[in-house]
Amino acid sequence: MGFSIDDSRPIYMQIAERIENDIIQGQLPEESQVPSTNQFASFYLINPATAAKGVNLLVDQEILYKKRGIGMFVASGSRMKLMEKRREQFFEQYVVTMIREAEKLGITAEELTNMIRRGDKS
Amino acid sequence: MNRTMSVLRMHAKNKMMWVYVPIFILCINFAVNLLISLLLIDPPPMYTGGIIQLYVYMFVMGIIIIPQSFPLALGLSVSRKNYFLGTTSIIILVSTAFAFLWCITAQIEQQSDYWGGNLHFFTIPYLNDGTVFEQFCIYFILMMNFYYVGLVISSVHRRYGNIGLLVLFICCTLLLGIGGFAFYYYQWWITLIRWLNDISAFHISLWMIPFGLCCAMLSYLLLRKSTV
Amino acid sequence: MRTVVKVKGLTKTYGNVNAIQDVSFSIESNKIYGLLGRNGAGKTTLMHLITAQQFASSGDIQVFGEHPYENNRVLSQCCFIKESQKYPDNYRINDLLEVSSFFFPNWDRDYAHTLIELFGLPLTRRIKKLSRGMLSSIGIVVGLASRAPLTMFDEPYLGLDAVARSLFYQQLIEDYGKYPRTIILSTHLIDEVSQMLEHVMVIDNGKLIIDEDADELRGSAFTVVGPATSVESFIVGRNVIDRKPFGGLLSATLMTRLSVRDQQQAATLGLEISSISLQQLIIHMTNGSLDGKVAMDQ
Repeated sequence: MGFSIDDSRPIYMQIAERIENDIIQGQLPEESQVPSTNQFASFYLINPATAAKGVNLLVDQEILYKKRGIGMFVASGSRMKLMEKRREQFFEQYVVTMIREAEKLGITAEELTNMIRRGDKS
Repeated sequence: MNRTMSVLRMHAKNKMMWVYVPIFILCINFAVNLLISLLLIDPPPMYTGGIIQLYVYMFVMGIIIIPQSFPLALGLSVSRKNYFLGTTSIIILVSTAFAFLWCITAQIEQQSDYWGGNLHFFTIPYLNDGTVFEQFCIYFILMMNFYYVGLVISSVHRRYGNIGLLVLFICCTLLLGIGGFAFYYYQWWITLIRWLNDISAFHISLWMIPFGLCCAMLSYLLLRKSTV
Repeated sequence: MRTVVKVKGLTKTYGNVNAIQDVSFSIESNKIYGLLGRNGAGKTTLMHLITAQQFASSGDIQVFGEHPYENNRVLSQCCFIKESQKYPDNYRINDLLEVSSFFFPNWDRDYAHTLIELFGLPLTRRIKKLSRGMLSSIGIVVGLASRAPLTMFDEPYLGLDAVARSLFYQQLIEDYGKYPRTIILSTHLIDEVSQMLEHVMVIDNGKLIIDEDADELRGSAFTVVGPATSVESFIVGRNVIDRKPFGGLLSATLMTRLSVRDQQQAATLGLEISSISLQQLIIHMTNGSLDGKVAMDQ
């Protein structure tokens, strides 16, 4: 079936996230063309309208822009923008959770910092 | 292309049903009869009346055409009206073709002195009296009537299921019973036989036209409310 | 966006059985709709009613703005592929394709033949002699090649193996992308098609219990698992659609969007939160004694 699309969250958001990931990781450089909605639909076996919704979400956020008659392109400066956004999300998703988990296990803030350093070395 | 014509073409695709099988049956039957007539020495006239087979065949067609083609037609988004008209069209076509064929073979039969073996396969006295045109009409009208009687039965079954058929059968039996009794009681038999004596097969067949039309109308009304 | 099908107060009764009960909905153009529900829920009956192949006991149906009964303007725009379609005894596959071209104005002959090859169907074989899988494939070919503005598939993949099903979905999405039209897909195999659906309708016991945009539905419920008492305190006063006790644990499914507050509260109580798939959601909603329409929390 489709390349691991998760059915428990809105699909258009997942499409948007994938495009964002590709931009951040460099697979979609700035000013490069993004696949068409029909291509997305075909690849993930989802509805073209859903793919379009995801793409339009990013257009609204000015991550992508449309060149008439050609297709969708990655806007300049979008990588920076996304990195910023992801940093904030990183804090909420990973850091806060990690701290809470650490509290459960009785790990102090200092022990936690040491662990981070240890993890960073390996 | 008009959807009624499309239904006709839909039926026409089934050449097995309309062409090959009836022709095959007739040929075999005729061949067997011919063989027998030729083998017998100085045979008396054999009136095998092959036309009856055609009438029976049309009756059977009336019965099976709905279960064979109605589900497909509805499945192809055809309206019941187009279906009925298209189906009527192919029957008219087939009846015309067979009636025409029969006129020709009846002529051949008579010209060839009954195939040399006194075989009356394509002609029956009384039924074949009259001009070629009259003969054509007799064959055509009778074929259509047999078809529509079959169609009524099939339509009743499609609309009302087995119960409907049972009711139809009971009604017909009652009608025939009451009718038969009335005929006996009022001595209508005598009048009827005298009348039949006086008129030709052609005239009888003309009288059958309203009957056929009623059957056709009844079938249409039943199909309009039928489902698959 | 125009309304292709509009149904109001539709009811169909067979004897004492209510196959369809007071169902109302609208179907808009150029979307893929999923008509989901258990076997015998009323999906097939509903599709028959929309194409006037069956007659409603009461209620109103409008297709393309008109009543479909004996209406060629409407009927010629519809293609209804059923799993129980009967064909004449002597018909071969190529006969069916040719005849289909007579009745569907948008029929694409080349596309039909491409599909025949893709599905590996023998053109000259009699339909009577086809396997169940090939019979379904033939239905799919006709349904897709008809390019009818309103195309309905009723359980189109009976007997199809996973490869053929995948082929169907692929073709459906591609052709739908190139030639948008209104597609209604009825199935009880929700998982496989759920990604393609834009709008979900669920019928249960003849009643329409869900009629929602698919993306809205996705993520509109979640499950909490943990010690029974903690879970009970979490779910107090909330829209619970399923509960599964397991020893001292309780698993409860809530019909609510997961909010940040929910996440924090769950973490505090030591509860685990998991999302549920569309199929699981629908299973929960069609189980038990749910009456009427299930309302989603906003």
